[in-house]
Amino acid sequence: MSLFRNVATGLRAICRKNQVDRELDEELGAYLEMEAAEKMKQGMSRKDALRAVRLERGSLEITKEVVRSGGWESFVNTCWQHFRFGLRSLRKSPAFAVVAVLTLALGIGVNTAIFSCVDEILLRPLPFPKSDQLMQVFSTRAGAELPPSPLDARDLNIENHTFEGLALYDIWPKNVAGLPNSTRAELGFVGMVQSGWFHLLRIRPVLGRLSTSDEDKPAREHVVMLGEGFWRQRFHGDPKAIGQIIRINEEAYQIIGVVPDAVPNWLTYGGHVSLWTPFVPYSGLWNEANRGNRGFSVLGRLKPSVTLAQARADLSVVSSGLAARYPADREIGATARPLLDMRVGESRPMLFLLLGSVGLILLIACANLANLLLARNTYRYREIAVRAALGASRRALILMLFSEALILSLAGGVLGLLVSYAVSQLVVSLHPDRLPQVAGQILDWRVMLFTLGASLLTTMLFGIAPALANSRVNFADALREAGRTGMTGVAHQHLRRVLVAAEMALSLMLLIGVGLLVRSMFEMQKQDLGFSSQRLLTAHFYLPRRNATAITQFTDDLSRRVDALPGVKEASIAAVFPPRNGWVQQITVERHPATDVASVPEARFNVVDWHYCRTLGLRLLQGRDFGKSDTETTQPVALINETFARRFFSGEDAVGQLIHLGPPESLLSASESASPRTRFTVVGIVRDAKNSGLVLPPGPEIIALFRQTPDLNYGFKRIIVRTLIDPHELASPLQQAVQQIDSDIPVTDVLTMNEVLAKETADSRFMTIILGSFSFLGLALASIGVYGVLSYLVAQRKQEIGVRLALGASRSQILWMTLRQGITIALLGSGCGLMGAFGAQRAISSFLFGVSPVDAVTLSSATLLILCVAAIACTVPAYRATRIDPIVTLRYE
Amino acid sequence: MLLLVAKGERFMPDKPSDLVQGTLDMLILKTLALEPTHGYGISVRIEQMSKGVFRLNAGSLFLAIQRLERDGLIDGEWKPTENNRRARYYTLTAKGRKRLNNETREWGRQVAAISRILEAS
Repeated sequence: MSLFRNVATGLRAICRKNQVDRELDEELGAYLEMEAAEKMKQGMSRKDALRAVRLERGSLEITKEVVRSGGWESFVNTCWQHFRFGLRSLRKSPAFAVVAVLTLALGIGVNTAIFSCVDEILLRPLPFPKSDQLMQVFSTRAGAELPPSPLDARDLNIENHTFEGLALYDIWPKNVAGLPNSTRAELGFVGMVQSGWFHLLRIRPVLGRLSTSDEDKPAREHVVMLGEGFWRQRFHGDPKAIGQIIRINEEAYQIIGVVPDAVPNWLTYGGHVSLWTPFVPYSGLWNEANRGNRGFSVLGRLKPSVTLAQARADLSVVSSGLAARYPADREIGATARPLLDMRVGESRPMLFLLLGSVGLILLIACANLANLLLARNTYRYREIAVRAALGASRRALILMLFSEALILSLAGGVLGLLVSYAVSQLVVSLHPDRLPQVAGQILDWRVMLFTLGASLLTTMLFGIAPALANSRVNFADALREAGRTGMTGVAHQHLRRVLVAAEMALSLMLLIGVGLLVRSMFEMQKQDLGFSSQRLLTAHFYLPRRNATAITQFTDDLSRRVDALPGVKEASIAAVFPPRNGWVQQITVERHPATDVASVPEARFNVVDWHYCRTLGLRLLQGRDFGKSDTETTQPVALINETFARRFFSGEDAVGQLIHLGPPESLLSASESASPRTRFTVVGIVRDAKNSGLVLPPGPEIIALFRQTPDLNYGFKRIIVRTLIDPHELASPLQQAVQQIDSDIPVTDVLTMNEVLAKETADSRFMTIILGSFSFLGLALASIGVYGVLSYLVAQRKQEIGVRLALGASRSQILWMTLRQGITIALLGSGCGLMGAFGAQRAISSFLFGVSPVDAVTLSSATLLILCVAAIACTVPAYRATRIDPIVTLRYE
Repeated sequence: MLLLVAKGERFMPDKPSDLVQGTLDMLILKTLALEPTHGYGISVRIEQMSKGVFRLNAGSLFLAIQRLERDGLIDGEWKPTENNRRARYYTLTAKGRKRLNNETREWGRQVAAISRILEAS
């Protein structure tokens, strides 16, 4: 009750200051009047009476002040006054205020953005109940993880004792048609999930139902679940959507339910999945012949209180049982990994590099802030001394400095929020495909508060502590000394130089990092791709539910149409194209068959049409190119790349050799070897073109004709067009050409080869841009630091310089004397920075290509750059030093 | 800060002890226990009752009144005075009365104890 009353009256005193003042006036006035009246009764005149009362009871104003200071609200008032005073004094030194606030804002902003990003990917628990039980299950061969085959996953699910359940899933791009208000087919990512999948994640449908295990069987009526966002957007959230029919890959699917968009995109390999169907990737899925057909993802949830080690032990027992029973599972094991690992994915080194560089920025910002505050307090030392001499209490001085620090931190924090928003937008817009997790990130308030706290601590530590330490010393001495030369706190000056040197060192480390990344990008782009990437347009299309003959007919028709388009020089249709070919097949060179299952070699595989080499500009080294004479009825032929020839036919003539896919016949069981397999005759060797991305050297590759390999002639096709004009201009004619044949076939991923290559270097470019902006920031802060220290030095030594000039020192000597100070700091900083770069080389080495992490050219040019910037920052104050007029300064003395 | 002005000589403890501060509060509460009155009334009453030993400074008086009112021991109300002005009249609350009784008892105990000490030897 009384606390409430106390707070209420206090608040009233703050909010209705005038009224409260008037009441106090009135009450005291009445008091005075009554006492005066009493005295007048004793015969005094009114004037005398009032005077006597004042003498006896003290001045009215002081009384009022005493009463006012009694409540807690007076403390608030004092703070408010200090706050306003702080604002005023900051406004008087705008350069300091702006630089300090900007430093803080950049430091806080960049760190908040990056930390939120890292938190999202590395630290935060998965957005599912009991998410630590969620696992990814893999097959293994010789310790390497493989995506399991459906049959293995089924048997693991049945025979294990440690999992609540396992569920297969995969994400396929499919042609979607029959949506409301849309006549065109479009490509959508479809999640194919086994019936238990959503339950493992504990996701419940928003509307309707989930698919049942019965619906996982092929040849049933097809059903589909919509993602909530997709349902709201395309069906306007209409509950009547349930029961409607849409077409996926030209088959009818009935909508049975709506599921929340709770599946993060890293779980779906970056694809934005809006349609979920039962897991029926192809017919014959559960035939024993497909046991070796690996390539699907398996999600699992551990039973309560089962550990990862127990689950792994269980899986390896079950998988060794499978390996004993099924020849296709020989040497195949199984293991589990926490689902959390999948979120981090391959981005771990990238995140650590980001974190490291953003940490450097934080250090630089802190050093710069400390430096600024030290400088400011040295200037203010005299002011503080005067205030203390005039009777300001320590408390008042602390409040004064504290309020200023608080203003800086708050302003920096608010601006930092804007910066972090901008930075996170930048990160999201730049994020490479490999970092899809970043796309979902938002700013984290905890991180923001933490960084704000850190900045407050920095301002306190470097703004208040030294000033207070100063206030202990003898003020009389301080006044005398400060009055004469302004030379105080030698230790401060030393500290400031160390801080600036540290800023230089940290910026140099960032700069070296950027230099190395830029050089790797150049190296990567400079390298020989093996084909010509200019004026090349690529696109993807998918022909569902067609047999090999129909697919070949479609591609022949398309080729004719595309060739006829104006501006087309050459066009080819292929399954994949450089610089990345993920289609890997086991192969057997018939003259050198493998002797056991584990040593069956693998090679990259591609099926193309006749024009592939000519369109890409792959040079033929030996033998002949594909020709129109190679048809469905002639002996299948293949081209191999140089690496293939070197690896499998070293010292022999490769042309004329026979190759077939899969292990040698001798290693196959009777049932497997019964199936016919294509044998290829090698007809030529082509130059190596990149097929494992830009970073890795090309692997062995076989190129065959899809018209000769009907069992490998899938509906997924890519078209490559060499143009005579700007390839972008052919994008829509190309789409029209496909849709003239079949309007239900969408053309997607229409990209020029240069855009494809840019995607390949996206990681490096991302890191380069981020690190580049960081190092620019660091460099700017560091040069401000050097400039500040040197300007102060010049101001301090004004008299000394004046005397030197008067005694005959030349201006160039003075210039050099000043510059030397700055250059010493810069050299010291660069030395430390180089050592730091040597120490940190492991952090960046995984991002480099063709450049050593201690590359001499990069290291020396970065050092040179930072020294130049430091020298420029020094020149202004040094020049100012030479302009000093000895007469003027000596007169002041 | 508490200012007690004893007749003849000024004395100004630079750090008021709890005892002295409590004493002023107790005196004000006692005054109001007899009859609700305004600030001046309190001051006059205390001076009269102490036979002129205590003369209150306006600052300390109103500081104490503000504190007591915020603690809910007294209630203030604007009322017209005899000579047609407005003044705040203070009355003791139930809580204030309880506090007064406690403090009076405690004071008695302390005074007795102090006298015993001073009269020893």
